[in-house]
Amino acid sequence: MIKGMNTEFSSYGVIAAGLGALGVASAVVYALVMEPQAGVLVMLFAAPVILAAALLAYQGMRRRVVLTEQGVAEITSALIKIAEGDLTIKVPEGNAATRHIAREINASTQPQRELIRNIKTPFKVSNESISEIGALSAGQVEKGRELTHSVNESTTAATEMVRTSEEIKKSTTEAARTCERNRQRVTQGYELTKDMSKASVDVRESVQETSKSAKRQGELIQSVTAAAEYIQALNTKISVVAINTRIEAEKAGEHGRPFLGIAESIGDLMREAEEEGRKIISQVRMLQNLSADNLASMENTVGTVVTILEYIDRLDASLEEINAGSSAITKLITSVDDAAGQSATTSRHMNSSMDAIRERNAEIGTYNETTRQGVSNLNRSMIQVERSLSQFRIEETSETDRTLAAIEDLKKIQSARKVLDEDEMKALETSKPVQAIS
Amino acid sequence: MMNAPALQSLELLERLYAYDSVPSPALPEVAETWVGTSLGIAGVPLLIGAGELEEIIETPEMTAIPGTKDWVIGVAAYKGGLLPVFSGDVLFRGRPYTGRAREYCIVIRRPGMYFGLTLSHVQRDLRFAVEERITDHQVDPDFTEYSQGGFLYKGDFLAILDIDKVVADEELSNASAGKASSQRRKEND
Repeated sequence: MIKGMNTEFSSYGVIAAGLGALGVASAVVYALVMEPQAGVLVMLFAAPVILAAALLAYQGMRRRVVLTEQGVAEITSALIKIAEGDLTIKVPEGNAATRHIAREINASTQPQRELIRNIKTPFKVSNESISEIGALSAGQVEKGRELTHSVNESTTAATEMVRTSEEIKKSTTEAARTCERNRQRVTQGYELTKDMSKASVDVRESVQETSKSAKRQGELIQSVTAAAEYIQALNTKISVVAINTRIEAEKAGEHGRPFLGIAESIGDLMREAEEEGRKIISQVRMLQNLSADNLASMENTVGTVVTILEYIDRLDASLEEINAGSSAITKLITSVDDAAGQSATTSRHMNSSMDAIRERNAEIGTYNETTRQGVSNLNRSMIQVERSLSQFRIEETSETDRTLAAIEDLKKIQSARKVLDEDEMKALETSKPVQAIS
Repeated sequence: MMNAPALQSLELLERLYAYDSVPSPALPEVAETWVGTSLGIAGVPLLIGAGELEEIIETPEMTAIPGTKDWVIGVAAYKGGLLPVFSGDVLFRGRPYTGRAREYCIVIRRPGMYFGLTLSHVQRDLRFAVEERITDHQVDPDFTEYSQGGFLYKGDFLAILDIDKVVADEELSNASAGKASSQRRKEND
């Protein structure tokens, strides 16, 4: 400001000095023309004035030149910096000589800054988007690889499934053969049960006959036992006779001695007979017990044979059920065999589809790789452009400016919150469509 | 010199005699034996020495005698006389017997006593060496009072029944079932 005032003052001084010198010169010219003495005198007085005026004019001129040079230097410095990309620079507008130029330059850099700012912001957004695209492209490539891996695994699984289906088919074929053999064996078993049933019936009849015979045998043994007991009783009687004979012989004294010998002989014979008789009775009783046991055993055998016949009937029924079950299993095995064949065919189709998917996926992977490289190149280009743009320096919007702008926005919002009465609201509602249309 | 040949001749004669002589026969040792009859009373195997029995008979038909003790089965006609028959089971066991009919009985004759006693079984006459007699073997308690040791026969102990002791028992001397006899019986028990 002071500088400006000095500049004004120097201009006015030059003008004043020029006017003074012009006045002095006019006075000198008038004095010389009208009165020469007076003219000399005037000249004596006017010469210093003119000289002073000339000095003042020179000084003003000189100052003006200096100011101009300074302004040019400042403008040159600012232009150099602008040429270097620093758009934050402002040319000082205090210099009167170059003020207009400085204003023009500052006015011209302002749109450039706006332009650079307008370029930088979407460029940054584009750069971020391209980076995201690059990341997505890399992820896509990775997913493509994973998909290839999964497809490979699915192909392996499908191949394994084909192999398993073929093994199932072999197994089912073998199972069908085994089932058929089992069915034949069941048929043989069925025949065997018939034979067993017939044999069991024969055994039962035979055992029943033997049982009758054993009963008869028991009766005979009973008769023999009775006879043996009778013999035993006779032995006892004979023994009593022998004892009494001995007693009588002893009573007879010397004359009875022969009878004593006879009685002792009979006693000895009776001892042997009694022992044998006891053995016979014991053995007959044992035989009787054995016969009773045999009879009971035979009755048990008959019962067992009857039970066996029942079991054979059940076995027969079970064999028939097994036969029916084997037929059902054979059908099931056949259906499993068909299903395994279809599964193998499906697995082969799936395998070929997987091959096609793998090929397509490989192509997609190639495209993705190409895309990723393209995005990478684009990213590099953008980075270079960003670097180039970063050479243009513009002032950042300060925090204070952003806060003031936010406050202005809030004021706008607050001013919008106007309490309307009912008529105003109706008018507003009726006018809204018009506004919307407009 | 004459003595020597004579003596030698005598010695020679002695030797010849000893050579030609026949030894006297050795007398066999006669072992003292105990002879008796093996039978059973009330299921207890017993021995009754020879000479103590009159005889063994089949149990005859009897007529019951009222007012007599339980062990009196009845009286039977036997060899032209009457023979009272006692139940060996009831007499020795002291309680009524219900079982198989006793087929045989022994006849005992003592001065003033003549009766029959039923047997559970009859074996035969047996002969034992006297030194084999055992006196400290356990006997059925109902027969301990009337036994005098016994012999082992085929692993079974056969107690010797002393008939004299049986006959000497006051219980046997009175067959009446009166109060006095009952009282005496209780005292004996």
